[in-house]
Amino acid sequence: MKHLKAANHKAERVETAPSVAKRQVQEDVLGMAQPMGCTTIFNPGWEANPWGGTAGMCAPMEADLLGCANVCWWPAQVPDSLQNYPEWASACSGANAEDWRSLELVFPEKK
Amino acid sequence: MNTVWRRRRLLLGKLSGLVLGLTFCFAGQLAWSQEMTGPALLETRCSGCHPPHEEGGKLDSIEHQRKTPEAWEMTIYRMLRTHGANLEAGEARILIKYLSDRYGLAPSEVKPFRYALEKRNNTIERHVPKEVKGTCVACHSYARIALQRRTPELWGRLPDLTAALLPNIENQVASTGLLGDFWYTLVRKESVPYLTQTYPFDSAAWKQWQAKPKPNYAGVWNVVGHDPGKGGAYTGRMTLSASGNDGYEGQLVYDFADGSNMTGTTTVTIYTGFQWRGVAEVDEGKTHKEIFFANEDGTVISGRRLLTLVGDLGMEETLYRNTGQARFLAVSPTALTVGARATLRLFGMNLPESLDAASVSLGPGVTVQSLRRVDADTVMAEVVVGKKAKVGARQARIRGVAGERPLAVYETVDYIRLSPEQAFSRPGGVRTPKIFQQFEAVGYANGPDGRKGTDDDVKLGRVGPVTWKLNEYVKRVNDDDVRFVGALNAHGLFTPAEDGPNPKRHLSQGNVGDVWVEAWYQPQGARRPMGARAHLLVMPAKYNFQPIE
Repeated sequence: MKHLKAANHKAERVETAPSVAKRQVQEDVLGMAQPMGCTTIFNPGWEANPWGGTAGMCAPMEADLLGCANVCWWPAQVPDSLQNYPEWASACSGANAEDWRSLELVFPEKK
Repeated sequence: MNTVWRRRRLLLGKLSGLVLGLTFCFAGQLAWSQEMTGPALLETRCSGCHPPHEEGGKLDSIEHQRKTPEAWEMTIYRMLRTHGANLEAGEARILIKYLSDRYGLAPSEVKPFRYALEKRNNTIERHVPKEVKGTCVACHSYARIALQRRTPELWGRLPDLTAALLPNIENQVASTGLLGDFWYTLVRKESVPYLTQTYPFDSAAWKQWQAKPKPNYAGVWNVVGHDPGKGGAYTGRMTLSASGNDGYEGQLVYDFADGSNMTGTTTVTIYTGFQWRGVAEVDEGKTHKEIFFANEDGTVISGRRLLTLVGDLGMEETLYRNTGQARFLAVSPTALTVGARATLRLFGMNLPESLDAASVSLGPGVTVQSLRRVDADTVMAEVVVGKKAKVGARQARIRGVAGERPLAVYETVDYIRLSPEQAFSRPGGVRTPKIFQQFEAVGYANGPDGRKGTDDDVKLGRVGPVTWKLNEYVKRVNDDDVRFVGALNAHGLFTPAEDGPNPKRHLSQGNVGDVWVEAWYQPQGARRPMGARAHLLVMPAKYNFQPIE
């Protein structure tokens, strides 16, 4: 690369631009301006993609729901079965496409 | 499935979708409240794992932090869920009350972050400090942290606790790309010092509030509220009687601008001397949650009345203590058109009996033609607005008593805006609750400078009738969200579609998507309708509902 020279302004800008990782740390990420009821993890996110929309997310999310619970990936939306709700998905075998209907909702338990 | 889990499932089954938050105020459970007090419960149920510190004798962890009733509730249920704590029925409620009173927050500490407790989930937290943005606020709201006060030691323990409770946090947070180092490293290096400094256990505000005698809330309260849905502005009365241990029983009678009314009863517990948590049974069968906060002298209470138990729909409400003196609280409608006639409803308390048209002053150019006193709280006035009446906000008075809210006079509605402008909803109804979204169209006048969007613009209040429409927010090729996400009704209420995969969509995608919500309003005499829009994100359903998101 050191023998190659930027041929025009655009190429110069590419050469001098900070790396993507550095830029992400420095800049405000658009996704951080979401309503409070959303979390802001976007990879793609549970609620929205990095641009605040819903395109390109896991479709449908039910297809990968147990994958989220098992590894505690979206603890604010899906009860994690690692630590807090170990038997959350015990009513689902995962073999049936309708299994998601037997998942529990998690509210604080009453005593 | 073990028995404990079966019991929990049974309990959850009964309660799912029914009871959320601080709703365990059932009269039948009052009997045991005398049996065990807060200190006794701490001693018998908690001190086994939380021994007193040698210095000061305070219980480890528990007595080194202060927080809201909701946060104590979350902690106690975590103790039951993952740490094997054992409580008899009803004991959690006593503990939450005791801990919130003894280790709670002062009114000024709660105020900036009330939105999280009031479930105003459309709030956008714009000023999250960079020290906690990527490390904490990637998963939960900033309010959830900012509504806590801890000793340096307790803040210092948080990284380890979080990593233990959510073992995958390092991978998960790394995936955001927001952090330049390991989560654990950054949270110890930046977040903990920031929180220790910003939210310390000891504060002057808390000391003052603890020393202050707490108000008694029994009595009559006059209510002014706003339902962004069908009802519109409302007024009413709440009569409270004390039921002991900071509990109150209330009767409420409310009248809405659309002519409907609502009656019911409420059961309230006051936490920390000012935090009102009530469960109301209204109109035979509907349950409301009341998340209100009193001001420091206990004369005004305000907050949000949640119409659903997850808090997606709600009404703004303010209660004024009826002290026997005359007060003029609200006027409806809040704006008058130049050169037009209108019927105004004036609401207050203890209004004088002998009122006539001359007793009401609405500023120069607005003439009161006739007046009818309905009761001690309400007066109806027929008014004519002169063609030369000055445009802008003005002060209304009833026999010299100034109105608490301004009255506006305007020539034309210059533009409308939607509230909220950025909103979200979630499909539901099959497995998860539908998360609804209410929109409202608000009219504005340009104000003296004649320019839209400047500081002198006058908010005129809700406009109607409005035609509501959903439009595609085009984000990709063949974007078809608008066909699936749900529908708006004539009152601006968005009802999402069902949760679960939809076989009719590409890749069986669920009924999620982003759309524009459009409102079209045609003022009388205008040639063309004016429009406004809001961005609505219909997000995937979720399965986890916590008192503070």
